[in-house]
Amino acid sequence: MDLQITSQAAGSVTVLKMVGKLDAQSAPAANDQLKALIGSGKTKVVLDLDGLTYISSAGLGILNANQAEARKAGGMIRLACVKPQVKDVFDLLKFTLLFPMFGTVQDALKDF
Amino acid sequence: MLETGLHKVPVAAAESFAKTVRLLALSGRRAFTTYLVHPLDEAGWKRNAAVDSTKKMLVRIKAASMDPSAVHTVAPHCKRLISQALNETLSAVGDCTIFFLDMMLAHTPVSTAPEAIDFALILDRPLEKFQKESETKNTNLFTDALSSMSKEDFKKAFAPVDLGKTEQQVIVKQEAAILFNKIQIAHRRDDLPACRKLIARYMVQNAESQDQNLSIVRDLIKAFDTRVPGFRAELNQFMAIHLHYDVVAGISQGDIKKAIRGIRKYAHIFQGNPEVPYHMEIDRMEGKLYEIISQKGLWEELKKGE
Repeated sequence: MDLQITSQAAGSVTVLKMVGKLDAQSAPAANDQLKALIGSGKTKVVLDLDGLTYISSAGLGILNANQAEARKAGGMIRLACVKPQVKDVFDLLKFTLLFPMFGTVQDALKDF
Repeated sequence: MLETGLHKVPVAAAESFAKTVRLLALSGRRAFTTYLVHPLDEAGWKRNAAVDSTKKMLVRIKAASMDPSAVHTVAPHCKRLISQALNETLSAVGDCTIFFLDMMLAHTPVSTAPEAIDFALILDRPLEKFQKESETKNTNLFTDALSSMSKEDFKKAFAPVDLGKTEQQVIVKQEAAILFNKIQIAHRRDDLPACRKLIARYMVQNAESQDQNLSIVRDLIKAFDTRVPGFRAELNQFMAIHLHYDVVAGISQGDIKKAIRGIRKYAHIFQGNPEVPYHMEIDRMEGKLYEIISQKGLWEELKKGE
């Protein structure tokens, strides 16, 4: 399995922990999970990316699309524990400004 | 793969075939003969040589395509044209094949003609086979070429436009303006095939730029999509086919900067949309690209150049 996602509630916020690689192969399943979550009204999401070792534009694309949906519904996706090699891709493809990034999950939760 | 019982050659298929034939031409005589000439020959498209050369025939067919009362004759004439090309040279076969496919893209009576459907069904499997066989080869060539690229080459490849040079800026702006005017003219004429082709070109060239007309073109796409269901999906397919062609042609010609720009644009425009063609292949190349950037320790340098 390229990517594993586990979900945990933290009050009104949902923390999704992603472990593995988010690329064209794993993006559709991750997209389905995020879509279902936001569609069910849980629009405040923290993505714990401590275990995410790689992201491609396919992964950025689904995060971006779901960020737009979450914002439309009054929520937001925040990122925590982004590894340098993953942040490099965000920076290179100019996605950094679209996602608030935090050093820890706790910091991201506090910001809601 | 095209479905049987086809009533029209889909525009994305015609565009994809045209680009694949161009890639076949870059791959050399053997591939060109195996995947294009032989299938047509085996399907009985080669007949005795005609009196006229393909050059003369092309002139006549072009004239017919502009005459609404004669456009229905284009497809049968194109079949005769291909038949004649098979008696001439490989280059004639390539040119005439692309011409027939372009005619299908421009005129619905051509893409719905039995000759066009027959032609597409003959080429569908061989061209798909060629693409599949090329995929691994291209990824390996791309990886090898990336490994031997210098830091400076990488920096150049990641600078879409050299904005430091005023002349370059002017050229890019002029090109965008010319393309935008052409889109407006095609829109006023309600020429959907031309609009689709021009908008695809405009978006591929300017998606990463701040061209002043970009938002107008995006609105135009929305309007078209409302009026013509599936317009956006076809446009995406067109853009993906163009960008994939740029990437593969870049690799085949040893122009890795062109390939990197294509991958970057593809990534920027589609952001992992799984509906567009070639997304897995481009994703794998994107992965190789990042891997080599990491190995060479170039991330900071490249981000600075953004």
